[in-house]
Amino acid sequence: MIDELKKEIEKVRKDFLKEIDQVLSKENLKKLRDKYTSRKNGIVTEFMHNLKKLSKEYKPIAGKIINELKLNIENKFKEVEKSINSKVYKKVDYSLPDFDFSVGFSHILSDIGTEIEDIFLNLGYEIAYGFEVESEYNNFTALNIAEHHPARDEHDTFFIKDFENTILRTHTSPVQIRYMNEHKPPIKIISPGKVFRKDEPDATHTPVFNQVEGLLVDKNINFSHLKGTLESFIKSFFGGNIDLRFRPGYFPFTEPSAEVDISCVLCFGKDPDCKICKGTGWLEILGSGMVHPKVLLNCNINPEEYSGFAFGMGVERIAMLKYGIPDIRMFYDNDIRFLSQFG
Amino acid sequence: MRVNIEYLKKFIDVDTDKLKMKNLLNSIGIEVSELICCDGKDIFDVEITPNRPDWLSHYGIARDIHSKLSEIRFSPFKIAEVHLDKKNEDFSINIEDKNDCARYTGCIVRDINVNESSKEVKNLIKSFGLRPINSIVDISNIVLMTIGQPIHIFDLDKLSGNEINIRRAIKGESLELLDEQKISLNNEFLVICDKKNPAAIAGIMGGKASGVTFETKNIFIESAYFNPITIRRSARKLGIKTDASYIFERGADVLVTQKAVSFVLEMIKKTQKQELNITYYNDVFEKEFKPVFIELYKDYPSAYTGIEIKNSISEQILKDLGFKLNDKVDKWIVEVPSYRVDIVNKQDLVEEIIRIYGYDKLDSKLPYSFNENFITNNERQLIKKIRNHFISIGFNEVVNYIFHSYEENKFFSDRENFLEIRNPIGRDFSTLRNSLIPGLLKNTALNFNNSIKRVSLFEFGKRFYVENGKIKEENILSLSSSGIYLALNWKDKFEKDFDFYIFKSLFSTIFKKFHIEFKLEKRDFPHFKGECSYLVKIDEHEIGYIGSLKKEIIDFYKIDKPVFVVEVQLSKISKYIKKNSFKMWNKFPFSKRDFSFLIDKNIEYYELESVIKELKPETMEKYELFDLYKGDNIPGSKISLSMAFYYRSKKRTLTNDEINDTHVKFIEKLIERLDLIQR
Repeated sequence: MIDELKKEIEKVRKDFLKEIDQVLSKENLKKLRDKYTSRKNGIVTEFMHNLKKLSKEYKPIAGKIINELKLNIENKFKEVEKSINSKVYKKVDYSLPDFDFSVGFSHILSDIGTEIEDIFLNLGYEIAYGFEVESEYNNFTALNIAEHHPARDEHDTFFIKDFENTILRTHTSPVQIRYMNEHKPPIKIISPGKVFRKDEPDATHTPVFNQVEGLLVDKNINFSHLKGTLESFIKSFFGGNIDLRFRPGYFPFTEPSAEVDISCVLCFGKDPDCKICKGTGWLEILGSGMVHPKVLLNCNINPEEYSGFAFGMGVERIAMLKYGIPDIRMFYDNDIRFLSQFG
Repeated sequence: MRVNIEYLKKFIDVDTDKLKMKNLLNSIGIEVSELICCDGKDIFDVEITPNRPDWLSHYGIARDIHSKLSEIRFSPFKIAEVHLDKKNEDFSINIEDKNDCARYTGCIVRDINVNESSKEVKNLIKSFGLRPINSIVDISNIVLMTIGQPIHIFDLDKLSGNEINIRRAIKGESLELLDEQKISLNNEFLVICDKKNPAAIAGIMGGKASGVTFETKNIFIESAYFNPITIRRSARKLGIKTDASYIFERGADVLVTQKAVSFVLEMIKKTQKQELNITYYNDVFEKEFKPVFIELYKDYPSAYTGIEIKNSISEQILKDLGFKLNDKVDKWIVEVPSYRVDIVNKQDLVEEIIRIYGYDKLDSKLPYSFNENFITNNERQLIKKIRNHFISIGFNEVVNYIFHSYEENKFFSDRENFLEIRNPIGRDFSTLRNSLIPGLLKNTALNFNNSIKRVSLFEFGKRFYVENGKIKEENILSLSSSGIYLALNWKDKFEKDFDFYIFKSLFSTIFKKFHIEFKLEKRDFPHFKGECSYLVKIDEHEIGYIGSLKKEIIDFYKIDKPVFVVEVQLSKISKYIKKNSFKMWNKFPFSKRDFSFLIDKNIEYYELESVIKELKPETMEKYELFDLYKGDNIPGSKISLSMAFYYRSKKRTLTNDEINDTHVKFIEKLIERLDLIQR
């Protein structure tokens, strides 16, 4: 008889412990309390009632066991109630993984372009835009590249079908021609934009790429002003520890012309096996020069009164150097695995 | 061009250390692209800019190096010029047009032996990147590489008649060139002819028949000056680039032809072990050479470079480069040597001075120049804002080529008003885009292939089309979304694909940002699915289109999920952006009243909205739709909507009764107007 009761009580205790372990809220705690200790029909209350039916012989022992259960359960309730009220159950696990909300990235060419533009804006340059489809006159002739000039070879040009003398601009210089035709000096502009050359895509060529060109025309502008301007740009963009080197170069629209090298951004000329500068310590980055008097004349600016300088750079090349990007085609694949690397 | 450093030492006593040499050449403007080792000798492959044909020879390069390092020994090129006006035989040189050929020096040498060149000469030829042919041809190449004058030598016995004619070819004539290419000629080509036929394309390549071989006994040596444009035209037409044409196109030295012939004769003599039998020599110089004179004020080099350059330095540099200076107190009259065809004005002279003086001596100064015309570019500001907006809501910016295939362009234009490229790099790149969407689709396909499941992209760029015979460029913004919008997560346990409503809502946030009201209007576009194809409008202006691309198009790009796109004209948006001035917000509290009703399902929400706007009481500030239901328990012809209306006054807190009164009256009118059933 007592053994049977003991078994029954043990089962209740086990069930209770299982159930109380799943209780996390006050509501569920109350439900469980009602189930076990409600005055009307709680499981433990039932046992108490049934105690009366037992013979005197068993009563004290059974009473003791049931009381023990009751105490146990009540203590457990108190304990759980306390812990529910405490912060333990309100605690969040901050280490759970975040939801995968989508994140967008601006294209690195936009970022670099904006960065370059902002530096020149701060130097007081206006941003001028033009057309991607241009006339041969604005793209070549006005820039002192006559029809049979050998320099046209270096600009492998796309021609537009059914339109005479119409091409995709090979540089953003036509913007300068348009601006000079419409404005009187002082002129101080940069012209960013896409340019087009008939190159098969490979690791260093794409038929479309981006340029930023600059132009300043005013009285008494000299070659040293060009150097100072480019130096402040380069140091602002790449950092003050970068050196600049001017080399004689040739562009039909500038005279004198200068190629501009910067010290290697990776090895600073210290690594003879450097992948970027190939041990030379220098990277070619810009073309520049004093605006050719013929170009000024073509835009009705008197070269005896005014002089100016111009410069141009490839945005992709600068981005490749700054971020160590190995292949120019990556800019145009638009692979999110690439785009998302540059916040 | 290949520069043999040891051969340079023939003219100049220069340190032949590779690195020093490379830096030296770089510093005067000759870019060294590669170092090649040939038979243990250092050879540089250098890039010669098109303005400097005088650098296409070792002597020319040595001259510039000397001016840079004027303290070093320099051996001017000395050849005893054959000033013979020898006409022992009946022969004539006739120039049809002196504009095509200003000078032609010709010489006949008889009774010579043609052999293989010595090993030494062969190595020299190889070091120039050329192929040894025979002792005579090799000599012409050495002359070319030494002083930059192209020489052509004919086998005299293969020329018919005793005459050389320099004339335009006649249509119908043809010639087999030395490289065995047969070409048909016409009036565009300048040719060197014997009595009957063309024997060479002037300045480009000789004919095979009259070439010098080991059997040749008698030769005719040609050293001429041809018009650069004439040569360039024919070379381009032929698609041939030779060492000779390269120089003539850029401008040879008209005064060097005689000297070159003398140089050839001197070298032939060395190979023959006997006196040369020169039977004819004639120098036809049809056009008098007029040197260029430039007036250069002495203070100009300093003014134009921004640094102090002493007169003596300018003078020395120009003299070393071969210029003649006539001193006129405050200026020089500078005579330009015949080989410097690139120098025409005082700026050119300044470049020469600063190039040799050293670009490293330039100062770094900032100009005090102020752009009075400065205007802020509004479209740039707009693009910046829009870019930042869309990346912040999860779109990735892309940049694509502007080239599409013909088929791709046709998806977006039923009229064939798009532009084609005459010389595209391939079929897939033969037209200029009239929509940015094909680019976005290519990018979408690529990213799906890389197992990226959510692809939301946008691009700014131009589209091109023809309108009334004129080419138009338009700045466009295009967006696309495809794949998963909300990814599965551990809490919500579901994922959600993009649909039209999500896409439209994401896109419209840009209008919220700019406080612009826009509208869609049903319009069938050929590129959209019939049931999801809309015009985007601001006021009554059409600014673009939005919809779900039709299957045929997404199949073309091998995409198997719906792709939602929108494309709008930026200039039209920017017109609607107003500068708002500050307005104080309403500080009184809102009161909300809900209203659920059944409405005819054919009535568009836009229509309901317009009636609400018309009937709305003054105190109603806004409204929103918070539930939409169709299906069981309501009539099939109806849908059930639940809306919330918000009331408040700008002046005071409204009482409950006031609001109830207003709301009930409003609802009554609304019910009446649209035949609504209150639920």
